[in-house]
Amino acid sequence: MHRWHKTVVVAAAVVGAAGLAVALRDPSATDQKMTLTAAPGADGTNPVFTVRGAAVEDLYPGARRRLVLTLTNSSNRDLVVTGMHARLTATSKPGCEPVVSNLEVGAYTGALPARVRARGSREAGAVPLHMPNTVVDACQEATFTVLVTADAVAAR
Amino acid sequence: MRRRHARTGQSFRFLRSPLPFVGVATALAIGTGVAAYGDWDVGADEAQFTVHAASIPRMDAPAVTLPGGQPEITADGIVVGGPRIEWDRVSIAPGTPVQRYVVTRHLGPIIQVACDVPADHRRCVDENAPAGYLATYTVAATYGSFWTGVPSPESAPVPLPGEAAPIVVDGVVMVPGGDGSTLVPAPGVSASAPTGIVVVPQAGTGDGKPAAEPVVSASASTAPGQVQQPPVHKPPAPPEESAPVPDSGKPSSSAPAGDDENEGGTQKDTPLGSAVDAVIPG
Repeated sequence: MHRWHKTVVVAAAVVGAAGLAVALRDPSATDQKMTLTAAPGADGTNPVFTVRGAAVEDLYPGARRRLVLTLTNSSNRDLVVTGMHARLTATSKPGCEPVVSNLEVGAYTGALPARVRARGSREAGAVPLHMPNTVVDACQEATFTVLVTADAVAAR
Repeated sequence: MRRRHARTGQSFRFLRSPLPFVGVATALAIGTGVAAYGDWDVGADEAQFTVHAASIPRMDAPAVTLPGGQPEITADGIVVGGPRIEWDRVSIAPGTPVQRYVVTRHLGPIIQVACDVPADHRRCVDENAPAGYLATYTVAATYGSFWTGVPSPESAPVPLPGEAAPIVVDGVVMVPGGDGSTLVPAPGVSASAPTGIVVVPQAGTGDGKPAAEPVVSASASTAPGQVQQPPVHKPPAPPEESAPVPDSGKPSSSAPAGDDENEGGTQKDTPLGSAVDAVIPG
């Protein structure tokens, strides 16, 4: 047995141990952070997940509501949602501006990361909404658009 | 030297076993697998959701009744204990009544607030109705600092008892028309010289707040026939949902009746919508 044999063996042991450790860790911790692109993955799949929001009606001055989100993973691999962000972007009525004095959109309140099993679905927190007393009269019967952005990674 | 050779021999002895090579193969397999997952992108575009604000429902036309018995007219030409206006209470959302009701008196083109009362009321008395005129009334619900409902349709015309005199409303001098139903500007009459002219004040709120000052203008600069908008009333800000409602109270079968006998008004609910979906393609 030569000295290079010894080196190879040690290196193999280190790599093997590292690989094993990576494999045995919590999958959510080992998932790769994916870029926010719609490009198909290397395996040719085009993963899709659906965010469903429960209807929110009857906002009026002083009212507090929650936009409850449900995530559905239609792909054949688990997904781990690592971030969820929401912001107010538009309203349906002139004179009712999409500003915090008309509607406050709070920070997402669910636990993250949230794992969504392959072909599975789960409720995943909510976005709190508050219509302050400063809301103007023009906002009566207005429809507010809330933009939600999700960060997700593929899981093993 | 012999000891070193002996240690070297022991060190390489395990290489005779296949285990190290199995370990290397396993590590390579795991590494390859992780790399494959790392190349798998997940799309996460923005998703739009819509949420909906309520609105104050438009109320039905109020019912107006004149006080019974012999009408009493003040020296200022105001009907004492004037018309009683009644309405059905409404809600802004299921279980959430509006906060105030504003009743407006219409004397032809002249519009004035007759009553401004909390939500536990369902009637009020116009304490400033001018005698001898034909009046109609509308009612609108309000909520919060800025939300006001669309005024109801006008009530049936009510002929106010007594003899009509020229009046000044919002700086405009008016007299009844030939049949008492039409108000026309009095030619050559100035509001700045109101001798013999009745000044019709705005109503105060009906919940103990002082009445507003009369709205007669010192000058007659307002064009005859010009419609004056009622003053903007700013009731207290509504409470947050977790706090009790101090001003309105929620009408229910067990709620106090306020100042009248007409308890248990109709409530109108805002319809519920359906869920909304957003698909985030990958």
